[in-house]
Amino acid sequence: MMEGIMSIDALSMVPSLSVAARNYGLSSRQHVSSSATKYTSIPSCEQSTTLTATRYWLQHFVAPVQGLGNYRAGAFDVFVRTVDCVGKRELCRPLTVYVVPDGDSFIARAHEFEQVYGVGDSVDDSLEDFKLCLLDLSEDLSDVNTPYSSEWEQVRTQLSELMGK
Amino acid sequence: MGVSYNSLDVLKPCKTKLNVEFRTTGPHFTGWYLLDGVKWARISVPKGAKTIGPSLFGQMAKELKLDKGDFVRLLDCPLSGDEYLSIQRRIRDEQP
Repeated sequence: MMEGIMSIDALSMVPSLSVAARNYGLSSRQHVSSSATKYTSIPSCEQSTTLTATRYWLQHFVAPVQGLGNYRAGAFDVFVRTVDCVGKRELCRPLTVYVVPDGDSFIARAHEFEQVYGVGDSVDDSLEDFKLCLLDLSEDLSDVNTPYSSEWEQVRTQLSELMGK
Repeated sequence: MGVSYNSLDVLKPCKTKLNVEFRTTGPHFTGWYLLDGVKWARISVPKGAKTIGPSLFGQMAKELKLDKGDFVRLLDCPLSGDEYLSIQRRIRDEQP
């Protein structure tokens, strides 16, 4: 991680995060949350879009800011997380999960597996629930007594590949 | 979404109208809707009695392959199991 060598005062960037997001082509509703993220490398860098890189860097700059524990999620915040393992099983590649506030809760979803979601009272709770649900789906799809539609056969194949089965 | 729903409001019509049998052992209540003997739609309903947020509501509608309007009709009663079946057959038959 680069936090140690950054000379930029990240704290000064917080109030202008929305402005910065807009300058990078994101609408204010899409601005990326300033919550800390566990990236160890830029995700999806090879197929990177400006959006992905911007999201990464915005989070990267803001991650070291102290006092973010007091941050309260706004209705249009998106928290981006990467999931490397589910239960004791390590995934073949990191899965990007998006967590958004949803009424009184948070909901975590991944574009890659739209059939799975996690809910919880916090970002972390919803992310943990997402992992459990992903694992649960994987176990559910191991039952072959009843045939699946082509959609679910495809999900099963993708999930098996992700889980390294 | 004018009216608020909770998990029980979803579980009940899924069981009674769609004959979905829910598994209770996982993190959520999950069950399959069988379309002509094939596992076609999988609905996952969180445990607990919290009000379902708008995103989750949309997610559940999507899981059942319904738009939000039809999902509301399913929960509020007008949409019968037979009507749901005909919607799903139409979706399946329109697939390439």
